[in-house]
Amino acid sequence: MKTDELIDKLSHSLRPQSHRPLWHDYIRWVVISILAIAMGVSLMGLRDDLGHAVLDGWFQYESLFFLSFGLVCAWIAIMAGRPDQRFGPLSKSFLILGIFGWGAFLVRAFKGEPFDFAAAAPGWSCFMAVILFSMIPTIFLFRKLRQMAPTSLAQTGLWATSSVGILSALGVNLICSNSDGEHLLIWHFAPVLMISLVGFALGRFMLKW
Amino acid sequence: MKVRISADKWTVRAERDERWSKLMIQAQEGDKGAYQNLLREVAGFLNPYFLRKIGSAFDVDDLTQEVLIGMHHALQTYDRTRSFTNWMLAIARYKSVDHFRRLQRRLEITVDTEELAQFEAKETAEDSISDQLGEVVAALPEKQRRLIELVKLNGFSMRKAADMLGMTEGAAKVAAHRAYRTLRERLQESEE
Repeated sequence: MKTDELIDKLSHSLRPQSHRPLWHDYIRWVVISILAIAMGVSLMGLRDDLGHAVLDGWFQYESLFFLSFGLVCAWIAIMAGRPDQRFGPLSKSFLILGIFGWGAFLVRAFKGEPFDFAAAAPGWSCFMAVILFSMIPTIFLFRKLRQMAPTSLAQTGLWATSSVGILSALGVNLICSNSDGEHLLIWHFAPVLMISLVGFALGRFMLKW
Repeated sequence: MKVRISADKWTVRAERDERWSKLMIQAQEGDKGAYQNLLREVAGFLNPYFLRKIGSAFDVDDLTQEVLIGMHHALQTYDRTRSFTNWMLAIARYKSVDHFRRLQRRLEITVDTEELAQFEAKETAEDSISDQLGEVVAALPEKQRRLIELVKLNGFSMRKAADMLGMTEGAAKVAAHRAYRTLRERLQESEE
């Protein structure tokens, strides 16, 4: 096809564009994610000691950290997902800061004891919960990001799944009462890391436009 | 003087960006005429842009068309408070990287296909020679044929093959020599 013919075809198929601000889509995603995770939590059942746990200062800090980090990551993915935007050094250092932040909570959970792999109670339900809680928010966010025509596909995918993964970890904290460092590292942190890396790998293909 | 030229260029670019931004805003509101004008101007800009980047006219049209389609897809992502040129060039960069990645993969596949074709041609030629050789060997006298089969196909030594055929080693060597000569002559005849 000649370029002139293509231009005629494209201009003929033009429709007026909606001017919905970005934060509208973001709020929709936040609502959908919270509903999906809440639904998952209610299906799997709240932990028995939740009433006691919510009074614990560290649990509150950790939950606040997960919530704020997850929400900021998604906002960065949406903001930097547009064609003329890039992930700057500030946003990259934020991701590293997040890993260190979670690392600090994990270090505290070890209570100064050495890592004992054998002591980690099997936590396939936590692993599955992280995956299940992530599914609907990931699909929604990837769909939205693809429409936004990102140019850094892998990075956008990484940010999107990091955000969803960490919000899922917040949900898992509401169903799992095991606070051992080994368990948290293997069955909470590792699945989120895995989801983030999958997002990095799949972003190249799934966000292509 | 240099500063003045740069300033002129900057002014031209700024004016062009402003004009394109206005056309784009009209296009976002559904003005087909403005959109058509914008796409024509952008295509006119992209052709020499890619020609400068790539250094040859090869693929320039394809790339320009891919960018136009990309712009059409990303139409609603243009933020009217920002530069249109930056937005369009970001799409151009993304599409050109993608285009060359695909081209590279296609070239790799082409090389593989060529290698495969060469391999197949070689295999076919070898099969044909093998068939031809089989026919010529089959036409040899009984003792010579069995001798060739034992020595060349089954890997027996001349002495062992001679024992198996009830011949002396010297007689086997003479028979083998005659067989080779016959084979060479018949293969040469069939080639002609």
